[in-house]
Amino acid sequence: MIGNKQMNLMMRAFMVGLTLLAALGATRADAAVRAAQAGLSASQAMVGEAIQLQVQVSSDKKEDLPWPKVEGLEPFTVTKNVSYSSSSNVSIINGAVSRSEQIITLFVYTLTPQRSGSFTIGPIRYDYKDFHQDMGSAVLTVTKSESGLSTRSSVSKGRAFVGEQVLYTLRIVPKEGVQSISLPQDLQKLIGQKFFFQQLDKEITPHMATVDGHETRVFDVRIALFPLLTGPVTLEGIPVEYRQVRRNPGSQGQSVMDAFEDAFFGGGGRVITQTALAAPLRMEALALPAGAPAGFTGSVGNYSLSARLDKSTVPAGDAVTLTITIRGNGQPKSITAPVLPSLPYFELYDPEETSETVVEGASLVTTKTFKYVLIPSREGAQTIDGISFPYFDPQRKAYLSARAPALNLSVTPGKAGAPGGSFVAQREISALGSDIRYLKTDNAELRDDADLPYHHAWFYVLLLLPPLGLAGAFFVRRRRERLASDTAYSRRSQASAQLRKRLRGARAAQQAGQGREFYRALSEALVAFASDKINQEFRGLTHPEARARLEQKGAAAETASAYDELMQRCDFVLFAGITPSAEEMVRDIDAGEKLLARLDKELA
Amino acid sequence: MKSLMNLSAVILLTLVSLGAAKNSPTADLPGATAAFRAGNAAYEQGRYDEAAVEYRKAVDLGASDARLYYNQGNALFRLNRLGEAVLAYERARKLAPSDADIDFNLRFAQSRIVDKVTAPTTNALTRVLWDLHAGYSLRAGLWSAFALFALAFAAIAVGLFLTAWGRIAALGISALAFCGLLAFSPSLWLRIHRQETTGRAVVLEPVAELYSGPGEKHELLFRAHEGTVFEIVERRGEWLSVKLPDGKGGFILARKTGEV
Repeated sequence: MIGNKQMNLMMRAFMVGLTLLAALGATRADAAVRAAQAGLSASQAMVGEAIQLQVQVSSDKKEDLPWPKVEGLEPFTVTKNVSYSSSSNVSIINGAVSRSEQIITLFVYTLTPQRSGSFTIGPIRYDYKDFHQDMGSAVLTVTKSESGLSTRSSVSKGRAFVGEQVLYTLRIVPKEGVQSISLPQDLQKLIGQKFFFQQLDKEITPHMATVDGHETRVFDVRIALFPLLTGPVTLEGIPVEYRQVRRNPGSQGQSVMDAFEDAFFGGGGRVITQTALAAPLRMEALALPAGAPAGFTGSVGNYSLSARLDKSTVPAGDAVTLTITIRGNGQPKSITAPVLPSLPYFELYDPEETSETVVEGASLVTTKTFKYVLIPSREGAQTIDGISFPYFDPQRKAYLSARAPALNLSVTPGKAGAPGGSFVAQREISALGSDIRYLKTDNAELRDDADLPYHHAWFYVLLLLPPLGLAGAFFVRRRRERLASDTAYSRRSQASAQLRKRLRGARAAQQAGQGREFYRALSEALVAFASDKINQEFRGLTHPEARARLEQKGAAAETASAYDELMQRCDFVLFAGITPSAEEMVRDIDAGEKLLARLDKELA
Repeated sequence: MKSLMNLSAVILLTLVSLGAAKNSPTADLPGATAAFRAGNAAYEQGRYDEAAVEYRKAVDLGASDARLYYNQGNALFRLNRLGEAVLAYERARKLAPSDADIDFNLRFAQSRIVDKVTAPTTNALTRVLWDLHAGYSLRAGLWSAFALFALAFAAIAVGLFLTAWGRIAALGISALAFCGLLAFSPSLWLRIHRQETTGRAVVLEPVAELYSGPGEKHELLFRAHEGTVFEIVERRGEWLSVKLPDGKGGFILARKTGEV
């Protein structure tokens, strides 16, 4: 069919369509392109009917040539294709043989009108290097077409549980001339987000059915749907593509060639491809009730389970195959290997799984088979009981379990060395069920563990502490070493501390009203401080000598004089035997503190 | 010297006050703890939807605790909200990577999702190194690194005041601490880098499409289902560039996912 259509179009391209020709190579440039010409396959078309615009470009060598510039394509759905061919000429002139080769590049636009009207296609230009050619334009008249079919869509249930199978039927009633029907390739994009689905019929073939009281040829599309989401859900309208033969209007006006084509290529008409959109449907998906049993894997529908052993008697240590078959009309992926009962006297291997999905009537049925290899380790009569598969029955609205009857196996003594008799092969504890682990009920106050330390400045301060601590340790160690080895430094460093200690003694004597003690302590503080600061002994020096030494070591004359005066005052009280008043002592201790502060700075 | 020390004190005080300002508490942890306990009580009575609401409240109040996310995951799992359950378990595991219960429940929930993603096989050494790298919480890692850092300096500082053998011992301890820090730092740096720049995303909708570019006009590569976990490669507006452990990847709408 496709071949006929293309052939038809190609012939029309040169017979009835507007041909836009330009002179061949009239203005041959130095470029590789020699000529260009364009043609439209038809001057009239219907909405949805594909026509072709071809632009043929000749060149002297094969190159990836640019596409032509074509305007006025907005009303069309456009698909593009390019093909290449070549021809060669051999000419003999005066005995000289010359050969030339021509490459034909064919640019094909397949245009499908989307609405009716009169459309100008063009101007069509071809530009490549020095080659420029205007190929004019063409007018295409597009007429409306009646839909070639009607659709009716329905679902078997308007309300269904999540995972339950629902039959969606799209009945297509074609009109005259409809030859084939097809659905879009990517149905998944349309309905796959809301449903797991499977089309029941591989091919869409027509059959007779009664529609509105008449026996009519129809196409039925059946799709098994399994809702994935709860709540109201809309099944989008499915686009149906069909091919219809349309007779050419006014057969009397046909040319001889048209009549020949019609007779030869399909009996008098054009084949057009169009799309009709089925009406969308709404349904509601219900959530499964709470209380699903352990091992429930989301199977919703009717299920059956059978189990059998391939032998009824087997020696201990030999293999026996347990085959479990689960069959049901729920979502195929929901059937998983059943949880087996505890089999303490068997060694059990992982099952081999096979799956088959078939259409039975108007339903999709899945059968999954799990084959387990069991090796009995203990002789005697063994029973395998409790193989089950939980599912939800939407009719009864209850969780049920498909169960297999108990299987009996007679295990005879095994070969020498094989496990058997009183020997029991050890194996891991079989799980009877599975579930998530329980809550963490530690009720201690919650933390904000996402608040990490490096989000805070204090963390960077903390990072500075270890190096700062090390630097401090270095400083302390160095100071200790210097104090131990450098007497002058040691005395100078400790002078202030010693002074404070002595002045505290003087203050205490002053507050106790012990005048002589006070002046002795003050005198001692002055002498000791001066001695420590310059690391030279002041004891035993006369006042002028002490004053001169202070000035020599950097003390100001005024400070040295004050020192001298205060020392003389102390000596006077100590040696003259007078009793100073409290005011005098306060005045002298204040003067002494100020003096010592000045000395501390000046002798530094 | 005195002025230098004063300057240092001013800098330290400024930094500490800045830290305190940033650390101003926005989380209502007592309120969150009350909601957490209410959620636990509701869960124990089988009122899972109420429990999920309480846990959500605790999260909204600013708590970020592995126990909270773990219990939230349990409640959501009971409600068959698998994608959100996986997200909660992933968040719990991020905070407590070595917690066996979290790991078990996460695997259990993932066994119920539609997509099975096979991680590439790795050799035993790589697995051990990976387990070491991923097996500690970032908070614990940070404090361990700081402890090694402080120990290295403290050992030298103490050694300054010891005799010859004491100094050798102190230097040895310091060298060991520095070596430990050096060995640990790449792992910690990677963890911090991943924490701050990339992440993981969990599909929360039943089906989410992955395209070859950030937009639906791009080629549809594949569909992922609820609960599938992706690694985020980069963010582009409302799209995330993500990849699976087996190398498959694409762009997914961020609103269809939850970030761990």
